[in-house]
Amino acid sequence: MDQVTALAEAPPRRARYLGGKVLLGVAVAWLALMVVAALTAHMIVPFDYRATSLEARLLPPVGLGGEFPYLLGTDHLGRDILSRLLHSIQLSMAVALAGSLIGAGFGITLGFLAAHLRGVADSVCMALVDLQAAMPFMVVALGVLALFGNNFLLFIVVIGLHGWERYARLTRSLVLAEVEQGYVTALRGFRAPPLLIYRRHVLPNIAAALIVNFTLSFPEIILLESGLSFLGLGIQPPLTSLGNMLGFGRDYVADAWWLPIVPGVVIFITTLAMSLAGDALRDRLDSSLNL
Amino acid sequence: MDVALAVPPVTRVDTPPLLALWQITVDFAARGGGMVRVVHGIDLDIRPGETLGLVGESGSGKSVTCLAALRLLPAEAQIGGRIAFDGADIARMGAAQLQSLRGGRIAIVFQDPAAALNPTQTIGWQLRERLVRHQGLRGEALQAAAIAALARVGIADPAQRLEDYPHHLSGGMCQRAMIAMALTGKPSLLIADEPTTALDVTTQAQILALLRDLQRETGMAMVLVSHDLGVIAESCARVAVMYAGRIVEQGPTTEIFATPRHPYTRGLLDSLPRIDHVVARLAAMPGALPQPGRLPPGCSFAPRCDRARPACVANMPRLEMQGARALRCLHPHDGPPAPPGIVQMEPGADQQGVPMVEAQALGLRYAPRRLLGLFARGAAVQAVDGVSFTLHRGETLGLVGESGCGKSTVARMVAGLLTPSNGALRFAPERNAAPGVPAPRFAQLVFQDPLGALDPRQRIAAQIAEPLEIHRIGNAASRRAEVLRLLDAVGLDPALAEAFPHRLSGGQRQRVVLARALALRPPMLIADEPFSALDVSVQAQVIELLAELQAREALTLLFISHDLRVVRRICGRVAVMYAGRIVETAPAERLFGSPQHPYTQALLAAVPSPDLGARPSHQPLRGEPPSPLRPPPGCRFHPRCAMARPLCRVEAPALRELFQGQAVACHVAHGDA
Repeated sequence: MDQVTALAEAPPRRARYLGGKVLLGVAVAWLALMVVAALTAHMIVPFDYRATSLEARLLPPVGLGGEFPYLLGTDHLGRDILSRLLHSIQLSMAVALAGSLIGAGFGITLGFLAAHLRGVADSVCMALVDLQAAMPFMVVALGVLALFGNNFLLFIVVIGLHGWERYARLTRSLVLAEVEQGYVTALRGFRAPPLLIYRRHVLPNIAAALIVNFTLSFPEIILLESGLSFLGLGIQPPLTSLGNMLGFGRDYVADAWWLPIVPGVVIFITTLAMSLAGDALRDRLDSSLNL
Repeated sequence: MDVALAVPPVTRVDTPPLLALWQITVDFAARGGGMVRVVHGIDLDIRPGETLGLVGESGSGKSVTCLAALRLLPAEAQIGGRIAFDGADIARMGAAQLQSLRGGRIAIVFQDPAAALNPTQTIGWQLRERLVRHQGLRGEALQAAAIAALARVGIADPAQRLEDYPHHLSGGMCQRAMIAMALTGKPSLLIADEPTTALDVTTQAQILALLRDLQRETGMAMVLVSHDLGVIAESCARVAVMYAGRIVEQGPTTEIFATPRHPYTRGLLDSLPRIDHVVARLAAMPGALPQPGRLPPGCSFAPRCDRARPACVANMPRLEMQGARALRCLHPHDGPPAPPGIVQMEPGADQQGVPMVEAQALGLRYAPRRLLGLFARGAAVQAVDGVSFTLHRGETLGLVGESGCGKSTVARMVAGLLTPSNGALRFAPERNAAPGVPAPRFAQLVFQDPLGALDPRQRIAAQIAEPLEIHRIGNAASRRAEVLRLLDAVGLDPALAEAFPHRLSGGQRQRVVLARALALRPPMLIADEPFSALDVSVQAQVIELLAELQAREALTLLFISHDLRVVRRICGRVAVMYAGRIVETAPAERLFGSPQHPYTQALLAAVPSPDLGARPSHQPLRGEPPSPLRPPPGCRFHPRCAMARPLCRVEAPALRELFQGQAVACHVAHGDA
């Protein structure tokens, strides 16, 4: 090596890389746990989440002065918090998933329509998008729910309307860029019907960005559901959700802090894990396109 | 060979080198760990005042070698070997010293001038910044130096242009501005990395002439990196041919081009279509450049070489010096290459037969954007204006011209992707005969960018079968058989049917695009710059494929290209476009033999040729094509025409027949003025 000089050496990137990997692993493991919990909640709960027990009110979690079998303690009506938590995860995840799918479906369809029709239709769609983006969604949701009363289906539709404008804008711009690609021109040269071009070719090619948007807006929807339920406009008793638990737990924060803290921590870790996983997914999907 | 040198003679070997590269290696971190070596021990000397050409196909390591010499590679790249500039070891230089060397005594000009300039600052701001740094000028002296710097690179109205932003300038102007900036440090070495690749042929000739003049004026040395053998032959005294990260042949340009000894050098020269004659068949080298990290054992070129023996596969030959030349080959060629088998191009047209396409006074006008349908913003752009031509059955018509002349617009109108705003297109009766024969089964379009032309997420077989599926031809099994037939017809391995496009090389992708275009068995193909993204050796393969397909399937071909060499090889008749109009049309033999329009003449003269006898003796065409927003009155070419008469400024000449089959739109050629 006396004559051959290494002019530049790779910086030590390994440590940072490893740390990121561990964090991502933890995030994915947590999400997997949440999915399992949501899918099997009704089978694995130790107690009926509605069953009250007046002798066992406001028990702290095991290890903090609580006693078996109430692992995470009980609430003001003596209901088992672990059972309620599992059911809340199930319902919150289901509402968030349904809401996300509604928002994605509506936004993506509108984005495709705007990109395909161009002209006036495009302007109208984008004006709607701007209108939606300009209104604080929480206020809209409050207004709709206050006006039309609370109804489970309506609640899901309202949740679904959250974030559609981002899908619409994203889809429109991606489609406009994608149809400039040579393969779309070639397909038009074969007189391929637009629906076939969009469904079979354009959608798979822009799907990566849409999936990433989905993973990034999913935690927001969980937060929105929690927020509305916290304010008493979301999931109503006897059903329970993470926000609902948080809302009722608020009154006992001084005497029984675990009531709001337990659902709060679950919301916090889940949204954080989802964002981390979404970021990693974006990196992976983007780089696989530049093979 | 007695050559009128437009370049300085080879500098004497005993002068100390200005830049010396010794055993340069470059390794990049590979995906999934490990290092991949892309440059394998390059030795190069550049002497003061000399011009060295570095030639090779994309991926051969030319640019990486240059960047490594200046330590401009990303930190992940590992560079080995020793680099000395004017006796100083570049490896030992500190960041500040290196910074003042780059852009100072060593300057670089890159391929894409528009990307190398800062779009948010004026040309003047960027130029003054460098003048301050390299020459420490202030105030009026600074402004005067900036104006002088632009004037020196041949920019008209330099004081005005200083206030322009890069997007106001054409590509050629931007490249001139880049060169002006490179010269601010009074470099003794200029590295020009594909400086003309993004430019039109007449602009390329201007830039190459400018670089030659500047070099003569300042006595700086130059490394010219190019994939174009013609550019190298016209500008360089010495040339190094690179293949797969190694120099395979090196020596004085005159000798290398007269008697290429390495089979790769010879293959490159044979792959290049010529403008002055047509060979019966371009001698295309099989295969493509190997991927770095997947080099074959022994000589990297052996798998593509028709002279390879077992010894070539076993060991990498060393670069042996023989006088002024160096060669890395065990079985080199001896003596000059055999004269090419020149053929007369047949027009190939059935002149009496039914015309396939008749275009009459075709025009396309882009209306200005309107606000609420009332206020026009900007002027209308007449992209194509009164274009008439007839394309006969079985004929290949070449449509040539520089970028922006409207040739692609014409192609898209013929393909039915754009609707002409004036004039008429008449097609052979089979296009309109029955509703059962829709337009796509009549003419298909093949594009320039073979990667974009394929859906990255669909398998090759699915994409080739798709036109059949859309038009409900056959069933799944018969479509599958058709796909295999088409793959075979374009010379692709049927095993690739289930591959995704990113696994294919550029040449293979273009073959897939051809196969897909032929799926509906159209009698006509419209090819829009189909080869311009391909390397020379791969281009030759695909040109031969297209010529073969055309003969076998009796295709009528409308061939759009800016590359006159390719047009010469493939077209029976040629139409030259300038600023939206056809200025000359003639059988290829006539057009290339005796061009009549001054623009055609200038265009042909600007094509760089690797034939050493054909050194440029003339001045390149001045100026640039007019903006389609403000075409000049009269003949659109008159502002650049050396022969322009008063009549040319006021009256547009019509395209009229001059000789048998040769029509020209020029007052001078017709003797009107």
